[in-house]
Formats: sequence, structure tokens, C-alpha cells
Amino acid sequence: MSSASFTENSAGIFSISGELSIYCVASLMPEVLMCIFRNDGVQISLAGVHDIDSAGIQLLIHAKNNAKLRGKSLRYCEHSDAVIEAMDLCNLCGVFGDPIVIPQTAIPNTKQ
Amino acid sequence: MNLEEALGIFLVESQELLEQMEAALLALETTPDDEDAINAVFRAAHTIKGSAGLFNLDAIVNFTHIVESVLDRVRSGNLAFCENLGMLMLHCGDHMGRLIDCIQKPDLQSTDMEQTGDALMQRLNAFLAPVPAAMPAAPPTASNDSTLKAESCEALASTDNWHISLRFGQDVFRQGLDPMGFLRYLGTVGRVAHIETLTAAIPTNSEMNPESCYLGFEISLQSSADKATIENVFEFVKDDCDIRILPPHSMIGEYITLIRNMNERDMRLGEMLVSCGTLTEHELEVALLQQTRSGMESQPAIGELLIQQALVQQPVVEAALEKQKQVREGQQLNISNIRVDARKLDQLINLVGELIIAGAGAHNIAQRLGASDLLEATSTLSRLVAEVRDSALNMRMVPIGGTFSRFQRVVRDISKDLDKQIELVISGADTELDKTIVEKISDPLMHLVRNAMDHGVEAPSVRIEKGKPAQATITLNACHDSGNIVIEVSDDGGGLNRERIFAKAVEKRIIDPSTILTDAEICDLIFEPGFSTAAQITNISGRGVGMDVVRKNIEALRGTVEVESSQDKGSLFRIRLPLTLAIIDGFQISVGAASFVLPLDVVVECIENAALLDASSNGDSGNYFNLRGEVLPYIRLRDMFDIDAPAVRRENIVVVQYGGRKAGLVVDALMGELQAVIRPQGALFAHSRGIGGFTILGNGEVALILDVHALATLASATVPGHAAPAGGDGARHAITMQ
Repeated sequence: MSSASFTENSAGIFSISGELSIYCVASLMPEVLMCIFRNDGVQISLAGVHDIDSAGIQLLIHAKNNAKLRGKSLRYCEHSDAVIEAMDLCNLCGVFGDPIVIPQTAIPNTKQ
Repeated sequence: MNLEEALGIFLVESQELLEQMEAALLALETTPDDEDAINAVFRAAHTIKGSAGLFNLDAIVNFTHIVESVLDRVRSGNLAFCENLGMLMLHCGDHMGRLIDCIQKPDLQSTDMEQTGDALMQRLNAFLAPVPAAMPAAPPTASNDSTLKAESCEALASTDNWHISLRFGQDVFRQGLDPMGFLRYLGTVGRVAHIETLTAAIPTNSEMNPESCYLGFEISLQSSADKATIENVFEFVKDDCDIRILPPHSMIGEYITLIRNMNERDMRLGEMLVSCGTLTEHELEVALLQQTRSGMESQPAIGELLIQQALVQQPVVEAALEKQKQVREGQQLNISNIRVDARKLDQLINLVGELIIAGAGAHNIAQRLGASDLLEATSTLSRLVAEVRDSALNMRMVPIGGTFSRFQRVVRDISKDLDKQIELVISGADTELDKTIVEKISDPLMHLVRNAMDHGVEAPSVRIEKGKPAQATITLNACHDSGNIVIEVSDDGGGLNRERIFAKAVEKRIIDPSTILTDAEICDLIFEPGFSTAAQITNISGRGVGMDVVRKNIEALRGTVEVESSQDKGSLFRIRLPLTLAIIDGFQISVGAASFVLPLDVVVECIENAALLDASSNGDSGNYFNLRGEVLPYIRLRDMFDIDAPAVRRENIVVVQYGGRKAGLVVDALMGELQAVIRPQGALFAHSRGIGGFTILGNGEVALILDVHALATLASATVPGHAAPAGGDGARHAITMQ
């Protein structure tokens, strides 16, 4: 069972890395919510997320909602390929509202 | 056809019509708006009146005419169906039945009957008096059960795509499933034109559990696959998740054409929709379940329910309803049944029996000659003959539901008489059995049901004191089990009172007060002649002539009856009857020069060259052997039937089962399967235990058919722990061990 980790780097950018799946959402969620609680604006890099499932997507959505509720800002950036594919599948780009950069080595044909 | 024959047909048909009328009236008691039931009652009365007119049976015509007039008013909506009217109609149905009986037995006629008739007609006329037209009951309003988001529904409905609405259950993740996986799979049966992920169900407070799934999806899918294929995508989640699939608009025309071209067979609306492809079996099941759950008061029509849940489109449902109406109107002129003289059917079955024996003879010769093409031909012949056999025997089978539904009226009437609240629940009504058995089992069943109501079920006040619901339930259940039909009559009353039974048996000197009996043996005492613990003799039961007659009647049908009971929880009477009487699939075995046949249904397995027997115990403790860890009793047929023949080196065991009990039969040789025509044994052999008739083999020899039940009981009686009951023949009683 691989799991994801939630870390902060020196520049104050948080990141989730690893496999964002059902196996780790239970432990990850409180960490993310605490982070939102403590800071006014949060940026989370998803570059290291090499795998994501519906539970993971749900967690990302919930975090966004939570931040909105508290009047804080939460931005996801550096979406990895896996995250982009998942968001496309569920048509969530609009929901998140974050700019997504699609790298040059594009994923074949995930857009409708 | 002469007049007498026609009259005979009229009598039989009227009987059936009256039964249908009664069933419909009982149904109307709970759902007074059921149009179909009202029409059924009207049609019954109308047909009887018309036919009676042909024979100039004026009394019947006059009476039925008034009944029909009142029903016509109900049918056209000018008269509301109420409880009083229902009761009146039931009495009228009874009266009509009596009038019809009088045709054959004029001595039944009496002034009493005339008076009853007049009184009923007066009451009927009261309903015919000009009354301001009663408002017909308003059609049931559809229940508010919409879960589809109106906005997304409209947006997607304008496209010509499949509209799929998914609401995953909360435990989807925990079951190891991933919604996105299903979405990807969906992409393989079509193109996802648009998808909306619904996140509104995610709780915003601390209740949110990240391992629960709160996601839903609205999908617009472009696909040429059929609905069942699309539904199959979600096979692994369909039980826990809410899935609605609506076919594209363009399909509507296609479905409607399919419906219009359907066979002229009367189908239910759900069936029609499934068969044209706009609805899947699974969706229909779920919808029907929902329909029954929404309670008797506001049960929506299935068509409405399906449209509302966005499973089918309105034009398709309308087309189906129209087709249904067309078919039903056409069917009233069609005859889908044929009346057959029962004797002709018996003759057919006899001929089939001869055919089987002749076929077996031909097969034997073919085997002897060794000609392989001839062998193949006779094998094909045997197979076809078996099919003809099954077909012929099947013609005599009728569903037991007809008998069961008659009990509704009985339960209703008697529970009113006894001042108890009793509900009758029927299951397995389409279990089929031979017509002759149905007729003969009716009386014993009636007795058991009456007993359950009179003795088993307590008064409502007593039940409430015991913490049980005031309304008692009596259940009638029928099912098939290894070549037998099992009928169960159970109640949730007080159960058999062991002490009272014991005391009564002592009083009647059936047993000695010092005898020690097991629970099961005590329960069995109720089958003794003259036994009854009822403190008072009521109209219904208590005279003590019941249970032993019941048992005799059942045993006359080669069946068994047993009872299970639990204090304050209720009792259960289980009747087992053999299904086929005439021709069976059998398994032939031999001991010495004698051949025996076992019904194939009871054979579980065969053990050749049974070395197991060497290790078995042959002592005072009885014969038993070890079958893969299971201890089973066995009987050596050689000993049982005293066959004097040289012993074989290795014996074989046939493991048989009956009514949940297994035993082994030790034989010399296993000969294989065959079809056996059962010839009943003569009176001379009636007392021989273990023989249930005989048959003629293909080579002309006679083989005895073994009565496995008797043998199994006998075998287990010799094993320690299965004691024979006091005062009874071990082979004749069936006892359940508790």
C-alpha cells in the first residue's frame, strides 16, 4: 500500500505527492484541512501525485469547499498527468477553477 | 354436443367464474379502485347470466341480472365500491353458487334459499336507486420521489444521447470500487458527450468521511449499444447505487414500432417495456419493489413510476398501454385454453408408458446386437420418448395457487367469527402439482388452516400481552424439493403446548404416564385418532376427528406430514407429496438375481467397490459407515429382502436422501439409469415396507421400485440416537429431530 504525503517546502508551497487514493485519504484530509485553517492562502502543488482515484478527487474537492467556507483561498498548481486525466474524465476543470498547464509532451487525446 | 354435455360445461365454467369473482372481490377490499378487479367481477356475473339464459335457468338469470346491474354502475364510475357493497357481493356470489348447485341437485332447494335470495335482491336494489352520481375515486397521485436535478436533466434531454444518472452509494470506496473506473469503462461502449460531476452531496462539516463516496454524475452518452449493455457496465455497483438510464429521443420511434409489432399476447406493461428494450429486467425489478413498498394507499401505476424516475419516455409507455388494451380486448374473443377430458389424458399417459417399455426393449436388442447406428437410433428414440413423457405428465399439472387463493376467503370469514385478526400470506403459488393431488390435498389443508386459526392463533389481547402484534399471520407455502412437492402451513401463534398434549394423551390412555418422550414424539401424538386438547368443541374444530384423518389422507397420496413447533412462536406443518405418479427417471440396482429401481431424484451418489464397508461397524450399535467424515446409516438390501444368492466380492453403496436425511443402500451391482413406468402393487403387498410399486424392465423382467422414504427411516431407526417413537410404526411416521 503506497500512500501520499503532505509536505511544505521552504517557499511556503505545500505539495501532495505519491498515490492519492482511498488508502491515504483518511490520514491526509486532517492535515490538509489544518493547513487551510492555519494559513490565509494556500497553494498546493500536485506535481508529485502519480496516481489518483475518486476518493482522491473527492478529497481535493472537499478541501476546496472547506477553504471557500472559511473565506480562504486554496489553489492547486502543477497538476500532474494523472490528475489532469482524472479531472478531464470528470469534467472538473471548471469546478476547481485553477489554471492548468498542459506540458508539451501532451497526453494523447483526453480532451473531448 | 348434446344439451347435457353443454350443461356440464356450464356448471364447471360457472364454478370457475365464481371463484374468479370471489378472488377479485377480496382484492377490492384492499384496493377499491382496482379497475381490473371491478371488470373481472362484472365479466363473471355477465357471463354466468348469459350462459344461464341459454338453458332457461330463470332464477339464476333474474338474480344475476340485478347483480350485474349494480356492478355496471360501479364499472362506469357512478357508484363507488365500498365495504358494504363488497360484503353484499360476496354473499351474492355464494347465493349464485347455491342456485347453480340446485340445478344438479334439486333437493337442495328450499324456502330458506328463496328468502335469502329475496333479501339479497332487496339490498341490491337499494344500490340501484337513483342516487346523485358518486364521484369516481381520484386516480392516485404520483409520489414525489424525484432525485434528478431539473437543470441538468433539461440541458441534457435536448441532445439525442443516452442520459445516465449515477448516484454512487457511500460504501463504494470501501467495496474496493472506483467510480472513475466505471466512467472509463463507459467510454468503451460509447462516447461520453458530456459529464457533470455532482459534488453537492459532500458534507461541509465534520461529518465528512473521506472514505465515503458522496459523488454523483450526470452523463450524456452517445452510443449505439442497447440498454442492457449499458446497464451491464455498472454491474458491480448496481445493487448499492442509484442508476437511471434513459434512452435517447431517437429511439422512441423504434421502441414504439417494436411494441406495436409485438405478439398478440397479453403481457404486463413492465414485460412489454423490457421486451422492446427500453427498460432492463433489473430496472423493472427495482421499480416493482418500489411500487409495493409505497404502500397500499398511494400505489402509483408502474408506467407513471417509470416515467417519473426517468427510466423510460412517456410516448413509449403510452404506446405500450395502448397495445396492452388492444390485446386484452382481442383476447376476450380468443380461447387460449382447451378443455380436455381427463380420461383421454390418462389414456395418453398409459400409451406413453407402453412406449417407454417398448423403446427400452428395442434398446436392449440394439445393445445385444452391438450395431452402433442402431444403438444411436434407439438412444434418440429414448430421449424423444422421455420428452413426450414429460410433456404428457405436465399437462396434468396445475399450479397450487388456485387452491391457496380459496383460503383467503376462509381465513377472512373464520377470523371474523373467532374475533381474531388473522392475515393469510401465500407464497409459491405457482408451484405445480398433479391435478388429482390438488383435489385431494384441499381438505387436509383446510383442516390444518382451520386448526391453526382456532388453536394456534391466540386472541388479540393475549397476543399483545405476549408482546406480539395483534394481527396474526398464517403462511401457506409451496415448493419443490428433490422430486417432491412440499406444502407448509405455519402460524405465529402459541405453538403446541407440550404439557397439555402429554396430559391429554395420558387421559385418553394413548400412553402411559411414566413414558418419557422427546419433544418431537409429543408433538406427534396429535396425530393419534380421537386426540384433541381443545377444551371446548367449536364448530370449527375440537371434535378430535381431525389430525389422524389428515395424516391418513396424506399417506394415501404416498406423502408424509410432520410438525415443528416452538412455544409462543408458532407451529409449522409440513406436507411432502411425491410429484410424479406414473413415470419416473430411475436408477437400477441389483442384488443377486433381483433388480430394484430407485427414483433418480433421491440418489445422491454411488460408491463402487465400497471399501468403506470393511471399516464400518456391524454390531449392536447398528450399521453405519464413514463417508468423507459424515456418519451415515446403511441398509444391506440383501439382508432386508432376505435374498439368497452367492455373495459378491465387493459391494456397492448408493447414497440416497429423503427429506433432509441421508442413508446408504448396500447393493451388489449398479446397473445405470432408466425410465420406469410405475405399476402400482397389488393389495397383497400393501404392507411390505420399502416397496413402492414395480416396473417392467426392457428385458421383460420385473423390478421392484423402492420406497426410499421408508427405507431411509428404517435405516436411521437402527442408528443410536434416532429412537423409534412410542406406539408407532417406525416406517409410517416422519419425525423431525429438533
